[in-house]
Amino acid sequence: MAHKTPLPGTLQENLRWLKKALGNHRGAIFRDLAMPTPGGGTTQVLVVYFEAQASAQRVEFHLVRTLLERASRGAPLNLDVMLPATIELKTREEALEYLFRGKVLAQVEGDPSLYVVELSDMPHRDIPVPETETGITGPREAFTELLVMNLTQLRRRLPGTALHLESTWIGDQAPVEVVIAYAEGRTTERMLSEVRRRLGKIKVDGLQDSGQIAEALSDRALSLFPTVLITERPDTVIHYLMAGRVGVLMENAPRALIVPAVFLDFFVSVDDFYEWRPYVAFLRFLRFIAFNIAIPLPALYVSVTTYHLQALPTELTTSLLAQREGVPLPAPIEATVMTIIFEILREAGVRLPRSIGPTVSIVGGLVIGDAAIRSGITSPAMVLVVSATAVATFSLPSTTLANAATYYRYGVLALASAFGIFGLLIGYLAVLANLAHMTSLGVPYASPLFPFMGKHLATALGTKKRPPEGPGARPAPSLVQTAENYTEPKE
Amino acid sequence: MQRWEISSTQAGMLAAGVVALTGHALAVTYFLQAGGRDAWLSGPLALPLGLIAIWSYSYLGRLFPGKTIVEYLPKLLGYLGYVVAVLYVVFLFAVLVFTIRLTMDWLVDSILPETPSWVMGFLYMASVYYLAVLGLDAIARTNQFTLPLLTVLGIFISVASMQAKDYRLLLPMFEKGLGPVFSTTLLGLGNVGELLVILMYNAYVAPGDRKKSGKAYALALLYAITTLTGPLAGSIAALGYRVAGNMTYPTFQHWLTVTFARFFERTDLLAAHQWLAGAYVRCALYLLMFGTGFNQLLRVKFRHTYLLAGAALAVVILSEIAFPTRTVFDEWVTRMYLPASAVLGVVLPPLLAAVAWARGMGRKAQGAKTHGA
Amino acid sequence: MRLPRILRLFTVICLALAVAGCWSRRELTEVAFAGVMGVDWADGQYLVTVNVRSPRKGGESQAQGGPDIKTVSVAAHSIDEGVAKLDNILARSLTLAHIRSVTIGEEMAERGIGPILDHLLRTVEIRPTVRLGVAVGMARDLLQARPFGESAPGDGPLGYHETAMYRSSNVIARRLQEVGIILQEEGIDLTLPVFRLGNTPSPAENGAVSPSPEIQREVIYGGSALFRNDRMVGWLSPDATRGLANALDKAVHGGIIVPCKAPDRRMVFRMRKSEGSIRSSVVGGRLSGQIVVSIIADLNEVTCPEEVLRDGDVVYLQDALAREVRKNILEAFERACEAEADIFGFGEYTFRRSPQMFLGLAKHGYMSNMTVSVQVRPQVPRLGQLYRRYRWNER
Repeated sequence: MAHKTPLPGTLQENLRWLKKALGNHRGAIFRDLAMPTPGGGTTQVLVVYFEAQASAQRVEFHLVRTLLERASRGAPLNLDVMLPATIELKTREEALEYLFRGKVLAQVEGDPSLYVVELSDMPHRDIPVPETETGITGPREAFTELLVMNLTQLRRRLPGTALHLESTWIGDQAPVEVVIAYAEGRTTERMLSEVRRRLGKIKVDGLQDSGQIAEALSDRALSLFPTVLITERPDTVIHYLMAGRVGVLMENAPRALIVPAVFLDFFVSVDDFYEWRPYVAFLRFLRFIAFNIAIPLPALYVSVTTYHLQALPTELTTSLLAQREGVPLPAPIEATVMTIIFEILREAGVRLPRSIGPTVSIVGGLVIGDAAIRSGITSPAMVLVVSATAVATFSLPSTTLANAATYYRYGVLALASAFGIFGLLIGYLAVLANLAHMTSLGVPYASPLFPFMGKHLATALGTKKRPPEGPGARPAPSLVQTAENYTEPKE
Repeated sequence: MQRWEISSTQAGMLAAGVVALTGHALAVTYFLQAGGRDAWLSGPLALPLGLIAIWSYSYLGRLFPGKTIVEYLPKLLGYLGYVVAVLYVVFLFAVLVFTIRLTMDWLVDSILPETPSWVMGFLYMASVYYLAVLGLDAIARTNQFTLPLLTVLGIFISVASMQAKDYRLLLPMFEKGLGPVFSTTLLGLGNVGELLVILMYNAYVAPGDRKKSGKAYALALLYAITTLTGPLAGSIAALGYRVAGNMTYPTFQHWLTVTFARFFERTDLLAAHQWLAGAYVRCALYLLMFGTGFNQLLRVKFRHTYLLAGAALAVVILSEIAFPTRTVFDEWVTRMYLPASAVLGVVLPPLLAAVAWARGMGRKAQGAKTHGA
Repeated sequence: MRLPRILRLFTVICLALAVAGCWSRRELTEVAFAGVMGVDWADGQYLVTVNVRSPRKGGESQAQGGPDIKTVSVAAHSIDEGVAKLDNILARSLTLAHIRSVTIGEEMAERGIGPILDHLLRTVEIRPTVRLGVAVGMARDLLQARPFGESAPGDGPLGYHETAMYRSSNVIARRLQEVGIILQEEGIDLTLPVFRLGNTPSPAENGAVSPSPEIQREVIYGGSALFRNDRMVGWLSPDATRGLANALDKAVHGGIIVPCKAPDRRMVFRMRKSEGSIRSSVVGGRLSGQIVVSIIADLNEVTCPEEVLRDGDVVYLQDALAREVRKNILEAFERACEAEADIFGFGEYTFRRSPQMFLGLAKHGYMSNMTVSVQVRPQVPRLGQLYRRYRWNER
């Protein structure tokens, strides 16, 4: 906020400048009230608000009627003592800001201060059911766009002073409130100051969604893997806060960001927190395998059928050979084309309205796949490989990771098309090096796998849970504790 | 001085990871040709001298904390130290040429027959260069992932191949006397000598961890010796020493004999993974240490991005043109490379340690404050 | 770190290489797969035969009669030359990567298989796990014949090799790697399984060989071939091969048919487990061998008229079994001595312990004046579902 223009001292002047600023703004309501006082006079009261942002009903009952009643009794109209949540304003910018955020401006004649009264009723969605992070067990609440409601959801789950919520503003033209959330004693000061520093460095006119901040919070590294976790569930946020991470929420954004986020975090799905522990370990392992299938499978198929025919079992060779008779495209091109077609089908399914979307995807997939096989453009084995890859990609809980996997899949496919298993291995090793090098807010991305952090690995894999010991023990965290930022709480 | 920091565990694992490949795949032929049936004894017999060498690495590392050998050789030996430091740096480069030449030969012979080897060498070195440029900590972390994976797979293969191995083929021992054993032990020392890269990267072990690193290196030596003895004995047991000694890639052939339920009939893809993944960290580490040593030797500060790129390119070119035939290469390995490795890695460091002790540097260092990052 | 710029340069180079290259690519449809290979010696040249599979066209449904297999032969002065010539004949590029068995013709085996092994071991395409076998007559004929019960020709010996473990007559299956070892180790000689066509008498049984190829014949296992160094010098009957397998600790399953006192009645045992060990020692300048075999077998069939199942008669059964096994082993030993081929590995045993002594013996050939003692320890723990021999109404 650049300029700070002080407020004029009288009601009339306030009315004047407000009218000038908001005159053309549809929806601004100016109520110039004359409160009758005993003795026949009137006191002028100015009430300004936006329709549908402040609750007209509450304005009526809590403000106007109260004032009316007091005025008729002859009591002094001191806005600051008698009404709920009033703040005295100092600058014009402040006044406008509060007005736009749904508060009510009020001034009484004779009192030089302009007050803002909390009577807002911003339109908002009800607490929704999570859309992308659905689970079978566990709570079913997701964030909304209203920051205060989101913060309330957090407070409900971590009551007490253990939860810290720091507020800051980002944006020049249209500033938006951003809240940093962390749990007492779990994060290091270094991590917090780093988060604050990065948020402070953002120079934008305005922000619409937290995804835009995510990039600023990431470490600079040439990689497609995500380093910031995005979630729409408050219980997930609290879990991660208890594990020592920092959460970032934004007004108008129904998703919260969690930093630092390491590689294994993207294999966590909602049910992992609430399901039976050994099963969770198995599922995480399965997802990791799916990830390792999703990237190299088409490349492996291409390289084995084109370069390393000796690696196929003999019976499979005969059947593959039979299938590939008459297929015009060489295997690498066929693989690329089929994966691209699959991606297109997936995109089409996303865009279509919910009622026909899934049907069209399924039918499209079946029909196109079948027609492609029959017409000899592709072979059944290739369709099988591509579908298996796609299914493996879908089983990943994090869409960002799935997208990253798609990119790497094409790269590795290109390498394998030219150089067989050698190309595949080069790509895999380069990705490995990338993973080893990346950091998320200073924490190595691939921990606790490498560098190896034994005691954290078990919790990360979901196989171990440290039971709470003794009265007043804190709840056992169920995720990776990034070793740097875990400190023993001082008893 | 760069700002990398690795823990002692990572340092130990690095040592284990980089030398394992030599004994496993690269130098097996040379051992078999020199030692015949008793070649597998070279590992255990090289152990005592290897331990002394490792101890001297730790000692020198304690005397000159935070400094690489290129940096403290002049302090120890004066002007002669510069000459010796040049030898070390050149050797680091030679390791790369050795590895790349053999790896590319094997790839062309066994996996991708038509692709020109310089193409594969270029691609591979590009990948290695990428990792090297990311820094020592990235190399250490990558190694922490690949080493356990490679070890597990290696154990799996060696267990699965037991059906084809007959350890009676290792008898009779000493049929041709002690001569072959002696010559293979020299080569074994050459294998162990490759650990001299520790003398370079030990400087970057985190200060708090320095005491533990000695133990880590000793464990790494044991690991290296095991990975030397295992495949050697296995190849002799699986193929007979004459056949194995005649083969250019005996371990690979030995792996091919593993079948698994008649389905997993061809393990050559797995062998490709083992070899390439094993050579990856090795080449990256030696490349990076070569670059660091080069800078320190000439007291310049070339940026790693360009220096290492140039070095990588030079490795590819040299490995192609410097040895026109395999025989020339074999001669170079057995007459120059492995003996040089033995001298520089096993013989020289204890001597240097003795010199340092004689000059009383041990007492000086205890009183002085640690310098260097 | 100005990585992105270098990365761009590198990507360009990579793309250039990839577009220019793909050097080692072989599309599946451009390749002819050979499943079995045969090597013969004919008219002073090698005769290399392969069975090439070609799939049926049509894409979707497979196995209407299985793959089409054709047998192709060429003559050449070396195996690799032969393979190259075959590559020229065939419409597609020949790959040997899926060869699982190599059959060597009789004349070729007599000439010596050493030279063949160089090529087999040197190419990376031929796996060290391919099975080797010897054909009575020409390997080419064997490859053209159809194994009984299969609709496709040519994989004759292949099936035997692959199911050697489950066979009732013990096949000592040899893989290339093993053959390579045996031929270069001291004191042990090679045996290879022998296959013949259905109407060819087995040379191991009567010594005469008369091949006359026709189509649609069966491939039958016919014992083993004995080698001295790398040349074939003799044959072993299937029974003797089983004896040898018992001694070499290679017997797994299989039936042992023991004759009863009555001439046309038999007892049949099925081996469950067999362990054999071979030792040798030098006694008075001669090599003396000891073979100890322990067999555990089940009783499968008894048609002997004598009341074999009386008190104490398991001993009788076991004795009969032991006698039969001993007979087989001795038969194998005799053949080995005749051919001067140390297939048991007596020499190897001595060599491993005292090489000098063995080398002294080996100079003069030790098989001809060797003695052996064979000890068989049988055990028949179970009798099947019947105690006594089944008795019918004999009025």
